[in-house]
Amino acid sequence: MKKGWKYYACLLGSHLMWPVLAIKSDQGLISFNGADSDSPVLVTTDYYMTVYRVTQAIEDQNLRCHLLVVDGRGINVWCGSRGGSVDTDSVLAAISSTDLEHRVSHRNLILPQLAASSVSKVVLSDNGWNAVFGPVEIENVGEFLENENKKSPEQSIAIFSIHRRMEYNLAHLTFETIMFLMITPIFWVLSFMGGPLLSWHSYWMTNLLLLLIGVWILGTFMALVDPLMPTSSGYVRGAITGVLALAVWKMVLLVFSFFSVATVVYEWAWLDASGLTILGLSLFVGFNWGGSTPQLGEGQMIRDIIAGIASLVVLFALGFYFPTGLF
Amino acid sequence: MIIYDYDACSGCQECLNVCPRGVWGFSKSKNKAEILNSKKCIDCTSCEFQCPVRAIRIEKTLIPKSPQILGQPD
Ligand code: SF4
Ligand code: SF4
Repeated sequence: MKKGWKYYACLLGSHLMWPVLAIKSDQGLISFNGADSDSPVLVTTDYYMTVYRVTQAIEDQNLRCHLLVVDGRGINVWCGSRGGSVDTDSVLAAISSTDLEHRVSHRNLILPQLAASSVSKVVLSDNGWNAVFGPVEIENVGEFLENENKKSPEQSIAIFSIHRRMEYNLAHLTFETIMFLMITPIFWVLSFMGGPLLSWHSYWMTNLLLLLIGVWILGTFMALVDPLMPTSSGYVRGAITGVLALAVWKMVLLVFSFFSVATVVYEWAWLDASGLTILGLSLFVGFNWGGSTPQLGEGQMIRDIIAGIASLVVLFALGFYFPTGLF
Repeated sequence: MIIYDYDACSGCQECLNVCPRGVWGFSKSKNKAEILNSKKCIDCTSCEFQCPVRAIRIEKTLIPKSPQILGQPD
């Protein structure tokens, strides 16, 4: 499969902007390497990047098999399964529309493991299909087939490799960049309401480039050190990164001031506009990053949202007016 | 929070097979699934959905809670 514009649009996270922008592949049955009626049938959803990766892995491992691409509304298997875009009916509908029962002599399906929260083996079995869940990583599917559809315990565990983290990071940071470009004029218009909002007037416009650079540095740092973080909470990850970034920033300012006593006191005593901005940005990026990792549970996400809103309210009550400091 | 009916477990190991976080282990001598690391659970509900005897329930709680195991002999 060639890396066309669809591949790069997925890489830049088009699906994050708006679900309708999710890029789909054609649904149906694809046969590889002269697969015949005895060849195994793998199942996946129609998100373009998913089909691209699965196809690539099948070709790399030179597997003789069929791939049944089911309607998942252009969403990847993991998010689609948890979000309800793909279920047992989607698989049964694909079986029927491709006339699979007449194209293969067996009744076995290899389902993606990450669809296990919404595709029922029992219901498929009631409809005459024996399904097994394959390994999480498609790169292990060749070994899985060789071992008569058995996988090792490690092959069931979702790993968030550095390569995958950098890919997610690129998609997220592109999305966040576009968000910043969209919200800047909104804040600018709001500043005309006057009062404390007046301080936003020039802030967003003049600092936009710095804000974006900050977002990219903080996001990339979080993606790199992800396995070292003590918690899956996006909020806590954001807070830890923010405090580290704040310390680095203040140290840089101290060096530039040649360690004058007054500056030392001033720089460390005040959570000024730049300090608040760094912390705020870091929490914002951490929040988004946490949501995209496969380690975050729903309960944790809700706790993060509550903590995020509570922090903003407390800061506001104390007079810290994000992102422009004390008013 | 995981609510696990130890008594009901038939030992099919499907929960081990579908859990993406390695929460479940298996005791060969007892032929039962065992919770190894409940803190890693992300409430994805795969184990609950696939368990053929409905021995697992995943309850989403705001405050994290330890698993509840029913019917496990001391
Ligand atoms: S899936 Fe259910 S029956 Fe099977 S081992 Fe797990 S708990 Fe036991
Ligand atoms: S809910 Fe998901 S993460 Fe938690 S134990 Fe079950 S399969 Fe594993």
